[in-house]
Amino acid sequence: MSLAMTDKIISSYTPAPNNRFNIGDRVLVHSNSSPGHRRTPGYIRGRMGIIKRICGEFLNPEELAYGFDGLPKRILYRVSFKQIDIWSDYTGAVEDTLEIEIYEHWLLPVENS
Amino acid sequence: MNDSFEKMGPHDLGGDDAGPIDFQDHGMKHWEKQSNALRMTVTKKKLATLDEMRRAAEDLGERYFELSYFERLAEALVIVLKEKKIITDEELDSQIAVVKERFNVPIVDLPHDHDHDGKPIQEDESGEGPLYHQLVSLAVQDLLERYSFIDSVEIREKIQKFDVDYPNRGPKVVARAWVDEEFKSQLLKDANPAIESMGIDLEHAVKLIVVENTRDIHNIVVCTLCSCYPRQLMGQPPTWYKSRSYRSRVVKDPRGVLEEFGTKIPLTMQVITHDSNADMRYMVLPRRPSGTENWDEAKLESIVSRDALVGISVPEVSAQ
Repeated sequence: MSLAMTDKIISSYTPAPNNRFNIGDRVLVHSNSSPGHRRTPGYIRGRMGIIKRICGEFLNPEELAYGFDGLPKRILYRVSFKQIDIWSDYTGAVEDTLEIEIYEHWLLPVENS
Repeated sequence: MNDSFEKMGPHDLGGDDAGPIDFQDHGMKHWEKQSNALRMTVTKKKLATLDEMRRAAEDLGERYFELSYFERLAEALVIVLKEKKIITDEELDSQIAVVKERFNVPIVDLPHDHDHDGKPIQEDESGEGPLYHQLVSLAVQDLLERYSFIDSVEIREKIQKFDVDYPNRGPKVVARAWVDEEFKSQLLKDANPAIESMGIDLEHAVKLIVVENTRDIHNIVVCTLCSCYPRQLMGQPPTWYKSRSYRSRVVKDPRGVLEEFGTKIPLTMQVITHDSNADMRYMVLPRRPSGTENWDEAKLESIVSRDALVGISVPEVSAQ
């Protein structure tokens, strides 16, 4: 592979400096219901999960949606939730999980008990 | 635990009760392909962001469900371009009239005793004359061309890529991963460089995560808020992927939805549901079925369906 080719190769994951959370951390999703364009669906708010991946830094969609520049960028995490922690009447296997992307400003730390 | 939650708006569907899923793919009309290509060209050129168009669609309220997917998209695009003062209502209305005129072309001269019930013949897909949103979408393209923001070649090429190139890429990646362990491990670790190393240009437009189905894990992908999907890798999503019932139900009852599609996952396996809700996009790497041990990549590709790439079905070798 030529050097020119390697220059063009871009990872799926962008750097995420000063990340507040690390893989394996327990987190709680904000229950905030202020209006506006959000990428945090209603069903996942107030739920507790575990950081699975750090996806990188992205322009803030809540700002982009209204024509602003989206800065400062926000760190995006892939968070895993047990299905039974989301839906009390979940009928599948207890091991079943749901993974979803949540921006850092929507996450609160949970002390390990 | 309290299961109730507040929905953001009509688009926030995850967990809603909804009816059965129509799992036929309805394909796309040409104007829908044009509308889709226009939307993607507008975002690529940064005339508007995807988030602005999502917001405009969400703010349609009840109208959100009265419109089809591509009608919604056309209206959202107009709202945002007007906000940005790139187009005005007056220009749009007059261009819609011009576009409509173009459809008044009889395909053949009619015999004198056939008056088509007194209606003019209009050349279009339905034979009923162009739909309103089709006119809107074409008129917007005309206006953006007039101001040199885009040109018609770009739109045509985008449509072609969706028809020819994008849909074949996912199965190629899967087949390569099935025959090349090192490629597979790179693909699962960091998908974009692995895929681009195959000569597939993702156009810097999509950041991919590939998740692997194993003996113990089955993955399934949805976008509950809209229709996020790795289009540069997999083409257009199937119609059902964008449907209200799929988006509502699959996060809460993935196994039930899978069964509806004929895919039964035993309770001894874990089902991971992926809500593709923000900046990353997902592809499922299905399990290689037994009976394919001596197959080459081309033959392996042929059993990887679009549905398998989001985990709603699994590749199978038909009994000879």
